[in-house]
Amino acid sequence: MPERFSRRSVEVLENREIATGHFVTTLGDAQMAALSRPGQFFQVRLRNGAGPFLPRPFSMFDWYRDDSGSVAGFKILYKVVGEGTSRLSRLAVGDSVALTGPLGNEFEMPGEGRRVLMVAGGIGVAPFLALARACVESGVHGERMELLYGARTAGHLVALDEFRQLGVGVTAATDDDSGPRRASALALLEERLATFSGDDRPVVYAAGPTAMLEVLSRLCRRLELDAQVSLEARMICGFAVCNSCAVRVISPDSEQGWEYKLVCRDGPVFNACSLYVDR
Amino acid sequence: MDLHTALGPLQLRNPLIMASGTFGYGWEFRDFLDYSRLGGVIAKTVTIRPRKGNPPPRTCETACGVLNSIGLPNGGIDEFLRVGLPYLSRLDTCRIASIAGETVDEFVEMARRISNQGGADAIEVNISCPNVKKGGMAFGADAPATEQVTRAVRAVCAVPVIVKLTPNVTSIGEIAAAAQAGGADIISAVNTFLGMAVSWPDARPMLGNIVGGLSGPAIKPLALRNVWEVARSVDIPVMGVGGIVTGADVLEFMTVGARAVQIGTASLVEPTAMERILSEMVAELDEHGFSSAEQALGRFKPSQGPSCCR
Ligand SMILES: Cc1cc2nc3c(=O)[nH]c(=O)nc-3n(C[C@H](O)[C@H](O)[C@H](O)COP(=O)(O)OP(=O)(O)OC[C@H]3O[C@@H](n4cnc5c(N)ncnc54)[C@H](O)[C@@H]3O)c2cc1C
Ligand SMILES: Cc1cc2nc3c(=O)[nH]c(=O)nc-3n(C[C@H](O)[C@H](O)[C@H](O)COP(=O)(O)O)c2cc1C
Ligand code: FES
Repeated sequence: MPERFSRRSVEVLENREIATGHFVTTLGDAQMAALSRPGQFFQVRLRNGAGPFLPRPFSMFDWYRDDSGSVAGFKILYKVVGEGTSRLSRLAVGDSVALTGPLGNEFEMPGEGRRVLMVAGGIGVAPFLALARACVESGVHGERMELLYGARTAGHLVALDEFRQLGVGVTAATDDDSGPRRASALALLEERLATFSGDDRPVVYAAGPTAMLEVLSRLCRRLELDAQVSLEARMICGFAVCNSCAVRVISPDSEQGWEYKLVCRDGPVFNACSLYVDR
Repeated sequence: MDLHTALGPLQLRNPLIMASGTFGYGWEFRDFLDYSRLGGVIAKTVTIRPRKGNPPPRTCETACGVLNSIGLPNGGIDEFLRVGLPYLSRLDTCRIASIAGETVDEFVEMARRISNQGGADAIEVNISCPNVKKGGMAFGADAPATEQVTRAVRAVCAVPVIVKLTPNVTSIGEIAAAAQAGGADIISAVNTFLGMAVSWPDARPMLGNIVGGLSGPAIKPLALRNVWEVARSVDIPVMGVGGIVTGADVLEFMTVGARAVQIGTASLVEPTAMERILSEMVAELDEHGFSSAEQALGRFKPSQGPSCCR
């Protein structure tokens, strides 16, 4: 078994529209699945004759177990936004895609007894089901975990039942009035943080639009929060060759106060306090 | 199938070489490729001082290709000599270093130090990067400057000197001839084509650097024309680069005068592409009754009129 990522043609086991424009695709590669850790991602190439030239990166959403209960693949959750995601959503069971992965680093697991707050903006929810499952498997009680989930409309709030099945407390909000309440994921976080006492400080995990993560980064520095964020960047390779996916990270040793890190190698998970925000 | 390729002073197992900037220094591809099945590899371009690279976003997908404005991020020549070159030198294939200076002196210093340390079978002189403000393409767009830098590097270098040309010029044949006059052993053609992408609704550029270099299948016809022109303008061997993704692409470049080819973007989007392209090339040669790769070289017959194959 390879220790690291590999590249293979992998079969689609299931392709399901779980909400309007949101799909879960199950990919049947047991080795890749067994190697995958929460926070990691895969490069999915959809060029089969036609189709986009560059591969598309997607987070590992969940493991897939077959009827015998053994890990037989993994799932990705995505929103259709362009040609790549649209092609992916139209794949039939038995079609295959070229996969490279698992790539990137992983979420650091919460320390013993720590509460877990997962903050998701929109499709940023994708890496958190695997994280929650891994937490449960490592002994964290469902009730010690919460998902604070903000999305545009109620139709964009997906996979809530999967989180609830693990015992995760879900608080959802939307930008309009279609959801349970009107608020942003960050507002939910600030509200929730206010209720914690000094010695029960949670570990925060966040993913979503860049603007949201930048604000969160400032908040984390101000409150000295222990927080990890999952970042996105335009990629070509996904395995640290092309230098496409650079992001600025605070570096006191460098002249400008920041240095570039690669999302595909040094991330996608970064310490929230380390993000360098210009404005 | 006999794939042995003589590239001037270099003897290659086959004509397929990993292009600079799309290969790293060797470790990134170690799980994907058996280096002993490649013709050669070219390390990421190094510069005198460390470079951070250009502001993101650094790439943007386009029709059948990709624009990049990476800007040569690298750890500088000291780090390359300490870490990159020792790793590269252990690979079981033809190992080529790549250098880019802002001045002739910088090219000379890097070439001398790499040559003195040993471990590289050749040095590629990158005078064609479109993404740096100083040096880079400025040399490759000027015939006298090309000749001058080639001559200066040639004088201090114990291994073959390869000069990599930019297609962003009026007459690439003249630049190639200047490189030959300066003493180049081999020419690589071409680096990326300057281009840009914009988002019209918010009227903003798609790249942090506004403009970038285009690579991938989109540039294959452009690269092929440049390689043909270069091959007609010089007597030294030429490596064809640009948009190669299939075995047939390789043979097209060899037909118009390339003795070997470099493959870049294809390996980024499909890390095992080299193996596939090699087996496709062998199958194509086989199918058409060739028994060696060298038989496919320079067979171009424009005087017989256009093809009716397709
Ligand atoms: C590490 C990582 C993990 C991701 N995980 C998920 C996930 O689990 N679920 C999900 O829905 N989306 C995820 N994304 C975003 C996803 O990659 C894009 O939505 C997808 O590439 C869009 O492709 P498209 O052809 O449909 O869209 P287009 O807009 O047509 O794509 C055009 C180009 O832009 C790039 N691009 C577009 N949006 C993004 C983006 N947000 N980030 C990086 N590149 C982008 C594409 O890859 C492509 O090269 C992730 C991105 C990264 C970097
Ligand atoms: C991401 C990227 C980085 C590159 N970096 C370098 C480089 O450091 N030095 C260099 O000589 N060429 C560099 N190139 C150019 C390639 O080596 C090659 O000349 C060009 O991409 C055309 O070939 P292709 O279409 O096969 O990629 C780079 C290309 C890409 C796409
Ligand atoms: S995507 Fe190529 S280096 Fe990160």
